[in-house]
Amino acid sequence: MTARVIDDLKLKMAIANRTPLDKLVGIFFEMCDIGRELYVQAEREKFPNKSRKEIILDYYRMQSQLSNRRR
Amino acid sequence: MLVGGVLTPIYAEVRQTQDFDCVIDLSITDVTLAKLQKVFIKHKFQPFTTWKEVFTSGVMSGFITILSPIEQFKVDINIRKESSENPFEQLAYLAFPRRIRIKMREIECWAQTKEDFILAKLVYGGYQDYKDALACYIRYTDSLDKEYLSHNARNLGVEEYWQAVLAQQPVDSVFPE
Repeated sequence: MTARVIDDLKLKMAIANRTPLDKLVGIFFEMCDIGRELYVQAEREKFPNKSRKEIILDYYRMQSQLSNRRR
Repeated sequence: MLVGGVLTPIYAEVRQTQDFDCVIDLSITDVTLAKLQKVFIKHKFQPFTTWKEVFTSGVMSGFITILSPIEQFKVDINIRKESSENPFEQLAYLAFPRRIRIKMREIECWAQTKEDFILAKLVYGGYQDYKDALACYIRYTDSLDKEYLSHNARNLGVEEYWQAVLAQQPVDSVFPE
């Protein structure tokens, strides 16, 4: 299992090294945006009166409680 | 200077991140703080609560948190200090003069080097952080300054994690459940 995990990471990194950086950056921003939008959508269904900013602030408050570490 | 998770597409494995971290070099005076606030407002950044709070408690602790204009991503800004016992602040002090120019979405910005990315990840010391450090090591093994990494991993008290990266130990064996 250990060897498989490392082999998998090596393969992913080999692919990353063959992919243009701007494509990787694009995928990164897309992943961040999609994840965030899905979260906001789900929260809006639960709390239709909450603004986007309130949803996001509550999310970060929760995240900060969970991680409880300073960056 | 950009640091941490926002650099994963360039240095490690592309993954989501919840916030963008950066380090700024600013001598704190009333004038510089007023200018900084003007810049934030001009570019439509938003405070979590009020600007007054950002520029009192935030600045006192050397750590400012604001929201980006449209997507409302959390942006964590560390103000670099000259000398500190705190390893997080030591990292910023160490990495800043070595920063490099990168391009993200056609925008040129400063970023920490891949060596400093690894060191920072080892100092943060979480499961995902170790994974990022290992991914960066595997991705750039041939071009990393390993002497710099060994020397500073020792100074920052993370030699054990650095040795684990060198041995390419998977995250689950370094952070068993």
